[in-house]
Amino acid sequence: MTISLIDAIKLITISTVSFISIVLVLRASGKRTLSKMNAFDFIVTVALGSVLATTIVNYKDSFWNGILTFIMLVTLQHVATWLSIRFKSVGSMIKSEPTLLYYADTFQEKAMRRERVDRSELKQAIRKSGYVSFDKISAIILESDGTLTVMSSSDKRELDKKDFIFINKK
Amino acid sequence: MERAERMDIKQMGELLIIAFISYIIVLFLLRLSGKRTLLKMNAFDFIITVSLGAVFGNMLMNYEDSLMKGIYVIFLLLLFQFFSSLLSARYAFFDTLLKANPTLLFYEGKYYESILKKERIPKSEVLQAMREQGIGRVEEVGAVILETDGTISVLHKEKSKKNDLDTLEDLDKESKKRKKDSDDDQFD
Repeated sequence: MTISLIDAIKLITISTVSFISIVLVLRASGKRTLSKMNAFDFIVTVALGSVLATTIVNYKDSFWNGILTFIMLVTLQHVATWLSIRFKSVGSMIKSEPTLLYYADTFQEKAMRRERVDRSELKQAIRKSGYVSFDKISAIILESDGTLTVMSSSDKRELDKKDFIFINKK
Repeated sequence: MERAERMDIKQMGELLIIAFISYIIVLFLLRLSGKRTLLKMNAFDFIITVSLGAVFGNMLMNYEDSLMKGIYVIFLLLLFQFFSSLLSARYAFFDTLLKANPTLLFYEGKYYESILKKERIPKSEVLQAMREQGIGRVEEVGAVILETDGTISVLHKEKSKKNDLDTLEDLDKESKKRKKDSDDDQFD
């Protein structure tokens, strides 16, 4: 497939324009739009990338469509985060609470089963943070963005269960 | 089929409503499937996460043709991810089927050259992983492990000497053997 010179110039113009408008839209909406704090944020970020790619590849059909979709997604993301810090109910609807999976030398088997996480994954998380043994670990938490946080007991004072203010009270 | 380059007001309104509704539906589906869905513990989890985003983006761009299809695909991806993680958390058999075991690349001062070659990892990447952990000297490293999600874990030596290495017990068979050989050598 070949493209004519005019098409090539058009493509350059269109990608430049889309790039600039997207940078502007993202800048206007703030850093929070692209911060990955819950499960959904990452999906939206990838969706934004996919919309940008489609906009440029099919610019003949879908330039305006693409820009508008992009603005819509950013706006929705903006509104969702705006609402969730103002209204607790919206916040807890959008975001799940962190879950304690390992604490005080015991695997929280019930929580692990419910969250579908197995022991080998906890071990992997420990290794990734540079620890080799459960001895040094005071807690492992499944965060709402789907990452595992490993807290060591060595370099901090002993953590108390009530220190985990955010952990679900169940 | 010739489509207009510019959208009219009606189309814009349509897109607005569709984007809003699909945003909520996708949000709801993800929330329903739990935090685990996006936990990236093996190479496959990451692909699923990116696919979900790509399907979401595409379905908004071609909403006329593929809105319902997109939602259906997202639903299916989440469903598969749900069942694969459910089965592998409950049954060790599925876990080994879906997930490779971690591999030992370096242990107690020794690189496993043949393994590095087999896993296509140059030494420079092992060194990079060490630096990323803030380690300046190879002697400080106890073990280097290739994890199932393709990241490289580096374990400090002092930390690994004092404790038994209980996070290493699910290494693959060959790695376990290498580790044992190396441990045996030390006692000779």
